[in-house]
Amino acid sequence: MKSEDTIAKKIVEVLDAGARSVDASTASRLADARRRAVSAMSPPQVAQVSPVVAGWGRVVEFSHHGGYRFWLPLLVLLAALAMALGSSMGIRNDRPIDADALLLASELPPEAYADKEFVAWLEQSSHL
Amino acid sequence: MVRTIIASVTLWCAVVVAHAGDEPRWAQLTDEQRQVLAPLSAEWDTLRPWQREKMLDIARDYPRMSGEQQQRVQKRLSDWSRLTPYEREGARKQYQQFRSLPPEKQEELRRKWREYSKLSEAERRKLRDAPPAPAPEDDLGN
Repeated sequence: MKSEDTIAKKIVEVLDAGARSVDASTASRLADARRRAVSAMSPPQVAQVSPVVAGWGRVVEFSHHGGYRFWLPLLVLLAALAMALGSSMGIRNDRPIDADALLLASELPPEAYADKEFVAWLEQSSHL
Repeated sequence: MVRTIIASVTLWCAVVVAHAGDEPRWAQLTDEQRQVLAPLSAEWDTLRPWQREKMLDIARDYPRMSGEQQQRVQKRLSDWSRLTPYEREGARKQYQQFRSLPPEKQEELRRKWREYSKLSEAERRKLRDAPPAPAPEDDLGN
């Protein structure tokens, strides 16, 4: 970082020395050209925002080039919140009934499926 | 642009993780959820987060069941929550196999379960102590 600063200072010194060596008429013509160039520039482009949004203040003062930096994360956050709320409120009614719910509601009780002795008994009885 | 995408993904992950860890306590359940999960009221706050999540899934699907199914679910909820994760996983696998059987085979298994349920504890102990039969495959497909 220090070497960058040193190089920058040297560049400034060289440019200043060059500027001092310019004669008065050339300096006057350069200044005139600069004024003309500045006055020919179009005004800076500012995005149109609604009065309500503009009321948020400086946060929404963005250009066309930098607007997404603010809005994209916000949109992603809102989408994630909507998904989380949707799942917690059971909006997905089209999904099939949960496997555990079906198991508990079946004619055989859960013990019939979990009882290893029953399975062993099935094996034994099928060979009697 | 890359930093924006990283920031967006981080925000999304934060929301998902925050939501995943937000399992409600009994007092935070809705009236409908409390009604369905009433058999678990005493032990709800001691259930692990994933157990609560599974129970909430059951409560969510409860209104879509017939009256008879709803009665069965309420009657079995408490016992189901007391099974170990290993037992529950085993039961799920057996249930999947049961569902894949033809209706007549399912009916036969239901009949055998009724028969087995009538065995006394002494008969079941005798069964436990008996040497395993060299059976190639049982009715549940094992």
